[in-house]
Amino acid sequence: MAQKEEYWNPTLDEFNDIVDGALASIQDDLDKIVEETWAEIEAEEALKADEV
Amino acid sequence: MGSVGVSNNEGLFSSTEVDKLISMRLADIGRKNSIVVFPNNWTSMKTILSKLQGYMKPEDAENASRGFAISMSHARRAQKMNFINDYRKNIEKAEKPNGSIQKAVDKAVRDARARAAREGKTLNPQTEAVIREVARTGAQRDLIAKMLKRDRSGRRYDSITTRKLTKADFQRVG
Repeated sequence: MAQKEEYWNPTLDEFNDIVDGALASIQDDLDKIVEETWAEIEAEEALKADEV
Repeated sequence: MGSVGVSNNEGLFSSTEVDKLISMRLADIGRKNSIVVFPNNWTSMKTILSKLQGYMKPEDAENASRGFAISMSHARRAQKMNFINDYRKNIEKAEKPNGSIQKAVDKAVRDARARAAREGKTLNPQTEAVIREVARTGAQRDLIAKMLKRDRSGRRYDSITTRKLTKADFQRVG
């Protein structure tokens, strides 16, 4: 007879650990994205200012 | 503009601009047309909350949801548009396949499955779904926080702030 699967649900602390750990792992990536986009925005603005 | 319950009563956004907001998943602009709620909209928020409340106290579920709002009440129109356009550029990069958000979601699910396995159990699929959504919301929150912080002069996004959702916000969900 097939064994009934037992589901796991995290406690609040476990849930927060899991999500916070995942978010901590991408902080550098997000920093790079924001910096890269910022540089693009500044370049676009500089171009617009040249055109005026 | 009759879609997805977006209120535009004060006319601060044209329908094209609201379309932009929707397409970038900044949904459910509040009644004052200056509050943008994450994740996505109240329906998503309600789904996440109800799943979390399946195994947490209601107030814990509200905190764990990572739900947040962007307040733009005091920002000028140009700054709102700067924010919307810049956010789209950033989120498109973060949401690429195998991009940052995917990485965060995958790690969260991997870790949750590993913890479940350590106890000889399987991750509840409903819990997995909510972990995915909350990791995504948290990543969006962190991205926006970094955008606002990067604007050191306050030139592009002045008066745009983020805040945790309040009891009153959650009452709207219920």
